[in-house]
Amino acid sequence: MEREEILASLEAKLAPLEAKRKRELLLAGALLLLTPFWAYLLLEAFQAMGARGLGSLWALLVAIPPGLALWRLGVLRSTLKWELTKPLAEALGFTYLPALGLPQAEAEASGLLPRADRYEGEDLLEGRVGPFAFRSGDLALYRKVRTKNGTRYQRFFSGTLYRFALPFAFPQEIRLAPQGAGVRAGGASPALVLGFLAVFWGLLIAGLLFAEGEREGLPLVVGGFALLSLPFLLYGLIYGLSLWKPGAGPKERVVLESGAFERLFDAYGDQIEARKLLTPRVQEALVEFRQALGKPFWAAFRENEAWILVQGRNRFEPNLFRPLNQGTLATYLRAWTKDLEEARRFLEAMGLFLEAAKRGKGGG
Amino acid sequence: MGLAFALGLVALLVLGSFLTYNALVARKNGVENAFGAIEAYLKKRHDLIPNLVEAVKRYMAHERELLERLVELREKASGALREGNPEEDFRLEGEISRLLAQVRLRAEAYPDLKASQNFLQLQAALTEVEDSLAAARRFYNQAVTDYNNAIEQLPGRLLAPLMGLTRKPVFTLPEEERERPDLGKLFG
Repeated sequence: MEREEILASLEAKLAPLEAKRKRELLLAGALLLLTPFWAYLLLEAFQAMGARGLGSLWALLVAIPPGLALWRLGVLRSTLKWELTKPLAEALGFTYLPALGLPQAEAEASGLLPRADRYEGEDLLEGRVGPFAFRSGDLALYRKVRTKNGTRYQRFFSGTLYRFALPFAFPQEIRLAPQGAGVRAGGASPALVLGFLAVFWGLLIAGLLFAEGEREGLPLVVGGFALLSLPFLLYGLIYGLSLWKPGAGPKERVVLESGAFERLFDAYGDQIEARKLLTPRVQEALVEFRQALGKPFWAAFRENEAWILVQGRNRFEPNLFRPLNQGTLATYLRAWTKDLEEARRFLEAMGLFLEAAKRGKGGG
Repeated sequence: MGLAFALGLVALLVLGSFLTYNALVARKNGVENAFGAIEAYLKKRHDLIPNLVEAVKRYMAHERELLERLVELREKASGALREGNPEEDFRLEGEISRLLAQVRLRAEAYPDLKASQNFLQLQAALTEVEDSLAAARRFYNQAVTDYNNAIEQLPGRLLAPLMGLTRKPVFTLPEEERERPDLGKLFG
């Protein structure tokens, strides 16, 4: 379908969607405005009934109107994605399911994600780019945080994960990570860990040397440095142990020729296999891709699969507070088409189309 | 206090020398390891050349001179590899690469050859080996650069002459390989 045809089919939906958007926003606003009065009324009612020690029940009841408002806004967001993004994705030959994401087990199989206590996925996009079938999804990872008021989940990572099926195999695993960030998201490179340890132990030793004259007890400066260095030492030990964990990815750092590439990425893997993939041309293309993307990303190439994890990406997001008109639609179309084409741009940058063609597997 | 300081300084120097010595040995071994990888791929390529020549000579009867030159160069390069003469070997390998590119280009003019499964398989194997070879050369150059930096910068510069370590050459492409191929000339 041509761009004009897609635009025409989507324009027909604009008026009813805009009416729904206004209605839902109004309802959500009313529910939020109602909350303080509702809280006051409940308080009065609880006091009139002489109910004591029911603070949790009161808080639960107070949360109903804002909860309803957020739920309505969530439904509106899904409707906009379903009605606008889905047809666009389908017109470009992809399958798009806004409410579903990559299953957690599948996402973890990438080996790129850090350990998380809770996983959320959405925006499942599947399709084929040339000879490469792919699946992708937006994800968010949460860590359990215990406070005196109870346990809550804090989001510490969000992004987009792509999984490509390759028509050829990589004999050994190759990893690509943002410079200094470690082979998986949420980590740190060995150089960074060692750097921290060196600085803190250096300061500790310096403290000991300077405090030579003071014989009575441990001088404050030494004790301070010792305490400060402990978490880093612990981190270093945990990192060291993780190196022995099977399946933690390749550990050997590959230093490549391009200075620009080295400033942006760390490559890991077998020295020869990694260089076969990361040729000077690919290094240059990856630098351009990273600059155009504006977000850090990790990648793994293993057997017949390639994975890419882009940090901070949130695809196909409609702005609920922006009136739905032709101008907005055109802006969405531009942004979402770019999102949909991201898989192709990554494959091009990695030189994988060329690689497939060289192996006689370049057909679609 | 003075004695403790002097002893501390000596201990630091001894520790520094050990670390530098180990680092230089690691760099030297790194270069040898990288050269070993090049040798392995060169041997693989040498093993493929007779099969390739055998597969194409039936079709490319007019290219006998080119194929004979390829076989001759392969023999010479194998000899240089056995004798451990890397510079001569690199020069000959450059020439072999150039001739293999010519064989591939000229094969385009023989439809029967292009359709031969045996030739296609050999060509794929050769491409794979040449990609690996190119990567191995880049690995070797990186290892040599690290090694040369280590022996020319302080503190390695003080220890390297005592260990008999000298600069090693990086692998450079021959002049003819850097230029764009003249297709007209190749097709004669």
